[in-house]
Amino acid sequence: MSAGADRARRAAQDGAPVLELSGVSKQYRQGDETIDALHATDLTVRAGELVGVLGPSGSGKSTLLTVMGGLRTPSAGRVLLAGREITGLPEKERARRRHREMGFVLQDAGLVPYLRVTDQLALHDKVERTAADEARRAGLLEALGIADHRDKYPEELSGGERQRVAIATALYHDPQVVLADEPTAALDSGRAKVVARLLAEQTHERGRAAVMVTHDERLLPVCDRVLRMSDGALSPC
Amino acid sequence: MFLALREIRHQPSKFALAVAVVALVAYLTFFLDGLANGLASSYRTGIEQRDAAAVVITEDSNEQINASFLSRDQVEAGTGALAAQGVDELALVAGTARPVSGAASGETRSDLYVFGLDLGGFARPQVVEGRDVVDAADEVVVDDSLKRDGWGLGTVFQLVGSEHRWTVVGFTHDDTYTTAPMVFADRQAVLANTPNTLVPAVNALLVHHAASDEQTVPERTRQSLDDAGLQALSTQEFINTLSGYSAQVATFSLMVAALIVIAALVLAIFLYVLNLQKKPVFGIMKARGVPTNYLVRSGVVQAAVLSATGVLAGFALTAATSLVLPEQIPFRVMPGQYAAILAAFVLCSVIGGLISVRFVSRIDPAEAIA
Ligand SMILES: Nc1ncnc2c1ncn2[C@@H]1O[C@H](COP(=O)(O)OP(=O)(O)OP(=O)(O)O)[C@@H](O)[C@H]1O
Ligand SMILES: [Mg+2]
Repeated sequence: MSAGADRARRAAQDGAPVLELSGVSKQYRQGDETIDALHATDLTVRAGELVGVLGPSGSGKSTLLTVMGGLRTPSAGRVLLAGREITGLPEKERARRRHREMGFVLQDAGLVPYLRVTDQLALHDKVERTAADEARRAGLLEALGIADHRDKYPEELSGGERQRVAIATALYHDPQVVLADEPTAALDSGRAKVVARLLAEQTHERGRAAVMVTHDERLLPVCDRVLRMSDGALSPC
Repeated sequence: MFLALREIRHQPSKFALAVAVVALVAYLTFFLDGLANGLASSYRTGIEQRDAAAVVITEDSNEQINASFLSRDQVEAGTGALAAQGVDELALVAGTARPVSGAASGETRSDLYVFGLDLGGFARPQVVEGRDVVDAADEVVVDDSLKRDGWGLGTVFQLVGSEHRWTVVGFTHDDTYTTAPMVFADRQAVLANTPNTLVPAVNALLVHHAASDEQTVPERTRQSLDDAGLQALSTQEFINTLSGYSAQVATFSLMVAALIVIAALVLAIFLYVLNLQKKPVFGIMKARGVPTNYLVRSGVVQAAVLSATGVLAGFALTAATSLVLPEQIPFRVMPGQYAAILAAFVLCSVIGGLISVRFVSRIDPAEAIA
């Protein structure tokens, strides 16, 4: 483990809490059946910390992420983002907080197919009616090694390049927290590591919090903390 | 705007099809509207150019000028009642003309309407070529559409059923009545030389536009007209009585409206299919927090942009076509109506676009992740 990561880890321990879950659980109703996808969970993610969540398929990782991200309402418990509760807000309000305070990196990138790389980032400014931050955009694309591809469409990029664009998109508006659901699922293990490391670097450098869901054990070394999900229960590992 | 335009820029060929469909339907619509206006105005212009606010005919005529014959008493009563506004007596003869001299002479016959009126009065024709009538007994000015029948200055013609020879000394423009050309002659001369199949009579009184912008006849005057067995129709009301006019206008309007709705429907279905394919992308954007109404607005803007582009292309095609259209085909562009058609197209498309992206609000943003 590198000295840099060590330093980051120490910083993370006394970073401010960004994402706080207390007693959060989620049940799905399917006909008469109730599926306990997530048992009561407490979790705090601090600034500068990249938390990895590992677990087999169907264990509830995506459920955890959607609840954290305000995409689903938990059946019980509270989710706080930057100290302010998001549970119970109407979807319109949650969407606004997701857009301003969160960044998402989704499986298979989750880019908009008809936007060029720069426009993927510009979309945020268009929605928020803010001026584009050219310097930040150029800096991010440079740091992620995709500056040469700025005028390409996602279909013209490789899987790894797409994921890097997705990371740039998630980070562009300097969100409090970045949530990534299997961001490397579509990549071979070499590329997967590079992408995960970029995510870690950006998190540490900018002092932001990040949660990465994966079932690829080889990515865990880049995480500051790893949690294991099994059958809806989250535990340190 | 941003998403809508970027998407079109990404795959213009995909959207070109939709634009082409709208353009063709818009072309058809504009063209139809131009023809409808051309035809409608060839019923109307001769009346509209008479500077009359109203037309007075007999109550017995059932609002048909060819069945309206004013007695001497009625003419006097009507002229008296309307003296303040200014009035002219009209003797209208529907006739068939046969040129007896000049290039047009021979077998060609032309159907036309002879308007016998006061050639020095407010309803007098505006001569654009040749000169005004000097010798009231046998000179006339005629609508220039008769040139297509070979008529020229100096053409002498007779009306079937009369031996009187009329000489053309001038041409007017856009003076047609129920699509046929008009001939302007002195009323006394017309009454003296009415074809023997018709009754020489004053058929109507034309009421001058009052100096005030009062368009129709005051109530008090209407009463005295009524007492004399006469009724006043505003010029527009009178035009609506022309046989076939209202039905034709209604038919064309209905066709134009139907075309607009069809084009909007086609566009809406096209966009719906397209938007449905984008469902996962909408899900991703919603997960990232892009507001639903931003996405819906983009969809609507896209529909508006596509239909406006199509309609403008359709307009260009119409303009190009009108340049090569033969003169006999009455075609008239009314900018106001074209603007209304454009607005109707865009409005219908916006509604269609709105319907086609409404489903976005039901997409669960969590689906993009799970
Ligand atoms: N919308 C839903 N309705 C009902 N049950 C659901 C729903 N989403 C997930 N589940 C169930 O909840 C459990 C947890 O699902 P989840 O998607 O969170 O797992 P996961 O850990 O992300 O799996 P994977 O690694 O395959 O993505 C599963 O048993 C799944 O079948
Ligand atoms: Mg999952």
